[in-house]
Amino acid sequence: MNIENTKAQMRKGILEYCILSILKNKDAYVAEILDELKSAKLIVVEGTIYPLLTRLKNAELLEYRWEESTGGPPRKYYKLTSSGQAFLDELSNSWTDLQIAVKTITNPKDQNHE
Amino acid sequence: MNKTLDINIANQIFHIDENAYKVLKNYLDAIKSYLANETSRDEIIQDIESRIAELFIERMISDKQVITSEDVNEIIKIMGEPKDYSISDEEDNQQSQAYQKVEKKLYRDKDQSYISGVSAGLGHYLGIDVIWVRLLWILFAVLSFGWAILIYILLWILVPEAKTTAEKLAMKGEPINLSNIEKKIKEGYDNVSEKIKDVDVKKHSKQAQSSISSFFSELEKVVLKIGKTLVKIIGFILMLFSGLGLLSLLFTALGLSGIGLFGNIDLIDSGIIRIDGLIYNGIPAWLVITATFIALAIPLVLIFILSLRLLFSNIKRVSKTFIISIIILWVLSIATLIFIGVNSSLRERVSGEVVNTTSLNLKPQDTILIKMKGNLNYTVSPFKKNQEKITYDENDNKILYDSNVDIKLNRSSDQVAYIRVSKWTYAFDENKARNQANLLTYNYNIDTNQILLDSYFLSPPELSDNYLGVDIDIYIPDDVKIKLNENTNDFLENYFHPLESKNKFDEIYTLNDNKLFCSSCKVIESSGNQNKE
Repeated sequence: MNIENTKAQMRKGILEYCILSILKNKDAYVAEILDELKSAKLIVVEGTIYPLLTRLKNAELLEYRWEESTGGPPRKYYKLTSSGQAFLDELSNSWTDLQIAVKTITNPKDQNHE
Repeated sequence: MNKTLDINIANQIFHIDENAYKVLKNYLDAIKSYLANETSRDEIIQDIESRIAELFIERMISDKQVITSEDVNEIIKIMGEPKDYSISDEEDNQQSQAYQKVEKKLYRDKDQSYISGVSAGLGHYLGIDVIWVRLLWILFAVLSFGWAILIYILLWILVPEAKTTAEKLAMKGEPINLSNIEKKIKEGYDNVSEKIKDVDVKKHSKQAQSSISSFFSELEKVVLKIGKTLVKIIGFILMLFSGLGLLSLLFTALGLSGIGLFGNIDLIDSGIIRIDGLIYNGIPAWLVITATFIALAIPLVLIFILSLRLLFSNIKRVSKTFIISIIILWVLSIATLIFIGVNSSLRERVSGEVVNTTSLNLKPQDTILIKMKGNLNYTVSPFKKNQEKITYDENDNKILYDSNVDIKLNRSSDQVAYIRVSKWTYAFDENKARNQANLLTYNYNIDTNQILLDSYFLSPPELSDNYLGVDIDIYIPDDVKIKLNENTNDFLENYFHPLESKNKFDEIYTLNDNKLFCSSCKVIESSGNQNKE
């Protein structure tokens, strides 16, 4: 069992949830999404996100439009679809449940004493 | 000083120095091979490239004009190793990693080769040192009386050479990731410097290796050349045969298409090609001919194109749509032929005839002359020709002329002489056949001791696709002598074998056992003159 591998798997699992959450409030293009993810230290390298975004788009949770940029290639602005919205709500619920579950298990003392 | 290249990433132009280009190219290739299982790989690669372009542009802000290796390494650090791009589930991941470790591919390793790199490649593949593989080859060659060499040559031809870095890694079963690619590239540089450094130590062995190696690479060239010549020869033979086949097919079709247009063709009449069976079944001749032509021509055309490509490598690839459409055409023509075949065998035609019987006033010892009469309006020769033709009668009406008249002489069992004239055609039911038969015009005339028969019959031109005929049966009592005129035997079904007599129509015949027998021929002097007139 490789610790790095496990960590990466944990991160990847919640990455989808986080990408959808970022797009919940505003449309964004890849660099913006990356900035947020990086500043939250959720990802270290950018590579991971591209296949993920394409998969989310293929699953019709996301859609995109092209926008011109000054002095660079045109940008794909991603947007949450309605089914993406529903998917995100679902994830939020289960995330809350998971958080509680994980807390209960990893800090049994806290609960016992309280 | 470094050479620079112009590259286009996401439609942006960058100047990049050569080393940096190599690293970037390997990086992108590695990502591609890592994402090989991804369904929308091209789209992902596009996104990655446009991000790389963005990052390059960010770095090009100042006076900097050229992208260097440091820039590329910097960007790779940001983007991550190829393995970071895969987002498969944990199980998949473990599997694919294990898979990648195990899955070596067999390539020829030219870098370590004496002859062709087959042994080196096998060594990598089997995970043993090359020297053992080479010794095994020699042992194997001796034990198999040289047959192993054939296998070796086969491997040489079939196993590709490892050329790209990715292939070289796959050859050794090393996972395709950045560190390995970098290592490989460095190895490439090191090899050069090593060669310079180790001149003294490895000089002799290297020299031996390289001279043997160069001898065999020359040999490889020669073999390749022979192979190419062989391919050319095969191409030439194929071209010759398919070209000749096409030409003859074309001429045949052109000749045959005559019937469709003019209702008359020699090839069919002369019996070289028998398609009346089909045509007389109500299927238009042009359809049969066209379908047959297409069914035969298309494979020939394909072989012809193939042979041209074998002969002249610079011939442009034929477009897929063309190939697909002619294959569809071919299938259609085959289907048509099958349909025609099934149809004509299922819808068998029946014959119908209209009969007219007349008695003849003949007494024993009488002589009857059977005479065939042509009509100069339609043809100059009153002989039987296996052909029908559309022509015009006296009133300029189109009519169908046909000389399919058959005469059969029979022995009359009740000793009464009579003539039976049957006009017949074929149709899908008997009534229709009889109605059609009624449309045939056939004239004959019976005089005392003479039957005057037309050598042809006429019918409306609409019947040209039908099978038509007139059968005449003449019943003759015993002891009646028969005379023929010059063209009668052409129409006689039970005609005799060649006669010695030169003037057949002068001779006297008798009917014996339903065969016409020349009674005067043998006794030319006596009875021949006796019965004349």
